[in-house]
Amino acid sequence: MEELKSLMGEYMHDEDKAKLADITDETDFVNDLNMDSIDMVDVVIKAENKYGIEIKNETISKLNTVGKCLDVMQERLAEKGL
Amino acid sequence: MNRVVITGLGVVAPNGINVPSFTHAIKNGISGIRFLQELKDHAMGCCVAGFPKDFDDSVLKKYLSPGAFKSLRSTTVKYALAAAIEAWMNAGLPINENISDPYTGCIFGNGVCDVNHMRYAIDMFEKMEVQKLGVRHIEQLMASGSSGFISGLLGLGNQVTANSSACSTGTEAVVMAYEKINSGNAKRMVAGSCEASSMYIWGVFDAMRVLNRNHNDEPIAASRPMSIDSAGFVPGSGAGALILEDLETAQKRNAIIYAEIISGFVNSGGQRNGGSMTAPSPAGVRACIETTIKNSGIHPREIDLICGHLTGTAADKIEIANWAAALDRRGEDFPLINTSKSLTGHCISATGSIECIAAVLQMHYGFIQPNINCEKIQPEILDVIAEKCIVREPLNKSINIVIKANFGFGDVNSCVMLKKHDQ
Repeated sequence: MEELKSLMGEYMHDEDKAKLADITDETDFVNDLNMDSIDMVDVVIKAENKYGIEIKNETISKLNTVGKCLDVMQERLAEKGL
Repeated sequence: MNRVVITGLGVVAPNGINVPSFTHAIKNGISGIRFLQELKDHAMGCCVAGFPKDFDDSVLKKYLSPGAFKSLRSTTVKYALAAAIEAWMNAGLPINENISDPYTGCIFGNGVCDVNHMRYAIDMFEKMEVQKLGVRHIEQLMASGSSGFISGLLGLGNQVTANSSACSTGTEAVVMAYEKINSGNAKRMVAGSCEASSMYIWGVFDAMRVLNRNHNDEPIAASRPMSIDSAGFVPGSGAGALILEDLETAQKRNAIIYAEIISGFVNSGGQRNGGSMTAPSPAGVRACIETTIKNSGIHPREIDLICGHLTGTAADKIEIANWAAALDRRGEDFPLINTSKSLTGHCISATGSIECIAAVLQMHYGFIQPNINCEKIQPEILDVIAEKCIVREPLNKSINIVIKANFGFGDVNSCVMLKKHDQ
């Protein structure tokens, strides 16, 4: 979670960054954190590169909340035995 | 038909990265041409260029989302955005936060995208790392990247597009925006053009042997339009943006009106009758100028100043002959003539918009910028016009009518007639 927050923070306006302290699984990237939806794809790509995982395109387009994003990433990491 | 006026200006030029500094530079003959070691290191014959050395892209940070700003790599888009934001603010307009304005559009052209950025993407591809590129590259590499960014920032809901006609691009954008408002299809347009600082583009001109190689140790003397020893142009980069509005809309909000556009025309010589991919057909150029004059209702004798294309190549003398024929004015009867290029270099697709801004500033503030580096004029030019018509020292003079033209590869021409507006 902390690493995801750090990645997300790079794409957030300074005035919105305080919201990262209170995020939950239901937090919506666009509606709650004022992020650009295309930037979430960039966050996922960075996570892919960092952890050596691959997330399918059709899955990426559905990752609109923190919980969904974490679930998919943990699933892929588990597949790699990490 | 609606009258069209210019109410906002923004510029990123080699000799001034905003309107006040650019005004100061052109008024006082200050050059923005410098030696560039990287050009020498890459075996260029011409190692000087006009580029906005002090441009700082951090000015864009507060206008873009963090993701967009962080990923912004294209200097084409950076220059365009900076110029457009300045022009919009200069016009006293608010940024539409939550609405899209259906009456305002944008025509912002370029010749090619930022090739340095394209090379970065290609390098990633060749290193088998395309999956690491990230998501925000095509929005900068597409030809309409600049107009797309400008529209997104300002909330523009009318036509948003990019034109491309080589060195004619900037003036063509102004003419196209003028036509859009004149016909009643828009009330306001952001018009302009941009050119990245890229040695890859400058290099292909160097390979054509059209750049000056004789003044690498004396950059300020390198751009020499109309001079007897001109030996090619000096490449440049930057952006210019103008806000055009219909007169009624501008007056309703008490906008400052810099000038009125009373006509504009765009054509091609068809690469026939002396025209080619790289040389303008005299007949095409003359037709473009003559149609602009005819549509303006102005008699050629009323023209105070010609802001020419005049690059510092062998084409200068042909251009002068074309102006003289189209205006039917020669010798001492010829209007005053100048170009910004002796101070900026040839900013390629950005040149038209930057020079349109220079033309407007001269009219608004009542001065005529000097052509530097032409102490001795080409004799073929002096066979057609009197030497006194070529302004070589800064001149304070009230001017009412300016005609401005640019010509581009592909044998394409753009011309616009500007009139001082009495508020």
